[in-house]
Amino acid sequence: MKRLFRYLPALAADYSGAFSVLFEMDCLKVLHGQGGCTGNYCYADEFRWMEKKKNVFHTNMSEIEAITGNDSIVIHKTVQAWKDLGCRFIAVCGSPIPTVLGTDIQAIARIIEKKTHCPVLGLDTHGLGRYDLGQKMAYEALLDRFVPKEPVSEKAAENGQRSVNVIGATPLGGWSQEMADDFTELLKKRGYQNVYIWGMGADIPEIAKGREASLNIAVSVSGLSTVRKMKEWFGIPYETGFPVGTQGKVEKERYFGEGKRACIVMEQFMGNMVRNCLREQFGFGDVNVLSFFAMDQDYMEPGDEHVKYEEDLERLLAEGTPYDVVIGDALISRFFREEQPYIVISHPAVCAHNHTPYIREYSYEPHMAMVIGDYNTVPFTNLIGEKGYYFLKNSLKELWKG
Amino acid sequence: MREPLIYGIEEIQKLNESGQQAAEPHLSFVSNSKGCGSIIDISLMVPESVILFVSPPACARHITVYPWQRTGRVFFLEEEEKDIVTGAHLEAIEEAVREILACAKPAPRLLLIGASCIDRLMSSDIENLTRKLSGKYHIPMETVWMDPVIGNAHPQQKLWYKVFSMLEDSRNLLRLDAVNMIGRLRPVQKDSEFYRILRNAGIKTVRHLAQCQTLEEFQEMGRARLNIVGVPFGIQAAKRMEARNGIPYMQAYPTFDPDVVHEMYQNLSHCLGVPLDDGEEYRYTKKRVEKIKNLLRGKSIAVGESYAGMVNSFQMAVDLCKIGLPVKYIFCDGYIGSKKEEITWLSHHSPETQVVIMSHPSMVQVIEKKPLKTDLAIGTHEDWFYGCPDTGWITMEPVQHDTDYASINRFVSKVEECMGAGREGTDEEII
Repeated sequence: MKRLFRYLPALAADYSGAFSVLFEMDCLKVLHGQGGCTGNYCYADEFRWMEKKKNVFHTNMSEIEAITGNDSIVIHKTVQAWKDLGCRFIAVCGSPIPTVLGTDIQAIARIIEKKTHCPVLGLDTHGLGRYDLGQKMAYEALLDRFVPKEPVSEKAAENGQRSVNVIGATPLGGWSQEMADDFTELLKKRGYQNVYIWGMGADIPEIAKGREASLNIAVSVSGLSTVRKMKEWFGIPYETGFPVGTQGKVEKERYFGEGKRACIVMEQFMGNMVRNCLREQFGFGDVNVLSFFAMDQDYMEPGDEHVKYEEDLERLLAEGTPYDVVIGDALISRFFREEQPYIVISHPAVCAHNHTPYIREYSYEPHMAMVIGDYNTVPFTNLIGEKGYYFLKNSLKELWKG
Repeated sequence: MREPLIYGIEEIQKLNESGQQAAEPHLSFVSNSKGCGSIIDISLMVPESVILFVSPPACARHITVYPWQRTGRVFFLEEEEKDIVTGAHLEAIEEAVREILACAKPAPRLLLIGASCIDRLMSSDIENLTRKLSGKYHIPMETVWMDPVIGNAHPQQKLWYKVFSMLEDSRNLLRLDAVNMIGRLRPVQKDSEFYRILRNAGIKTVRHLAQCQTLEEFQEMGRARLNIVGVPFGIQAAKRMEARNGIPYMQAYPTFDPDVVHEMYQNLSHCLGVPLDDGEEYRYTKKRVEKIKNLLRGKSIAVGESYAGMVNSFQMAVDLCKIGLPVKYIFCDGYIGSKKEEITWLSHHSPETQVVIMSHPSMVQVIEKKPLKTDLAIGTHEDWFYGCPDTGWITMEPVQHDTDYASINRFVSKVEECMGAGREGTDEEII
């Protein structure tokens, strides 16, 4: 039955995606809802929660406030918190409760901004969409609010030759800090002096220089609409994805993948990059990319499919030809046959990350024998460049040794 | 940046007496110590059951990500935006129930349908639907709610009440030689002297809901001689069982004080009408507690709350003060109305104690700049509230702290380890 999850947990929700983008910024993040709503994000979806600044709050909504629609309390609490803490900007997100009540988050944001004279983003998340939608909202809001729309001056344009914006990378989408650092290094070698990864290192001053960049890169679908807008407004060209595989000449490990079929179940752009590597460097033929999250038609190939629910994936697998290897989160391995060779690349928006020590003691044991990768010890896989290549090579070798 | 919201205990007492809250309405920090009330965990304790949780994905995220929630007994029906307007998810529930009954292995004998604040606010009549489906598919079904926005009662309190309301009327049935442990999230630890002391007195069974393997065993809880309520959340359920099952109850909340445990055994003996011999354990534990007084002389202590540890950090402070260990900081969630007795006692006997309102945004100062250094920190599930590398941190989870000498001895061992090696004491090292 559609909408019924029997094996997977509920997937990361939209406000988790929005907060994931804003987490590292000097931003007062407010979720209009209750403690449990925020707990979902902090304790299941935010890998950085235990280590970094924790300016994430909830409005502690009560029944009376909900029934009477008393938004003035929300405004008062947020203004007071801003006075207590100080921050560069405020972001107010919605949870399911205000959605049911028809709360106007944008209006609340405008009133808070009038009272504080501090920029406030009102994000219409509602806890009913998935994380990639929230990420998209956050990126678009940052662009709309903080990137000046005037034409770039000549001097700025000259500086911009050395800048690149990377949009769409968050830990929730599978990006570790190591992966972000490696990608930054790689881009610097390509001649970009300034690499601004929105949400992982780049704060408002860097984002405000966004229009001066000479290139934008959307590394996930959630960043695509933003780079498209920047192309339209500022003429900045964009690319999608990131390199997985070695550069230059490499001996093709054709015996790994020649004539073989693969299925990749993950975020679309990450999946596409892994597909490129499997084809170009391991000789794979038919490789399908599936995703539980949004997919853009322009970047899909025949055989790719958006599987919104478990039933969609099960139907697809039942109708199709078996795969020689599947790559995806450990929890998704549950849908494939027991003998299925499977390579784990964790997707935190699926598997979540629990930070308390005693939770980590409970290890998940995939039901199949041929699984490479461990859900608990490898929460992130660095796929950038050579590291991605060697990860895939070693995994394929391990799977098909002998 | 505002300084952290910290009050002296006497200030808190004045606020309490005047009926004021500890802080003006404020945005709140999230704390894992108290979570969302362990609703799914309690539901899964009911044997031979499965639960279908119906909600937006955001609500269900934290109750479906843990491995123990994915053992084939938790199903999640995702609500979509259109359901808010049309209520179409109510029709989908029947289809989901049909599918679960067809695929769940082993076949459940009880099906729980869980829902969230959203359906409360939409006035979805899940109870009526549950009754209808139960009749149609000939399987007992109940509704449970994860609805912290609704009402004043905590969702956990409501759920314990609901779970124990499933017990059939047993007022006229023969009493078993058994006692029930009500309200705590886990059974009493296996190494507890509690089992032996009661067994020696003829009480064959000490039962926690999580220990029931079948629905029949669960129903046997309705024939116990006594309910022992381990946390205030269980009181309403205990009152219900007193009325419907004829089971009296007594309270036994976790403590660090051997005198309180001794008093508990005396009270238990009176309730059961049998003598209970805890003399040896009592004397041994008192000696051990006396020793750590020397170890902690001149040291500063902070305490915090957690569901599996102690939900009342003021009570923790009282206990520690009574055994000669004054508490410097009490980390609390700001709800002080129900803690008048403890606050009054502390203001008279430990006037230097300060109260930190954990939920207040000013806690960012504590986390970032960490001004609240203590030698030892106890409870509050997150060690990052204390964060100083040389603070000895004793977690009160995952091993539950009960009202017994074994828990106090375990605590003493952790203190000895913390103060000796200056590092975190874990349960794996102690047990």
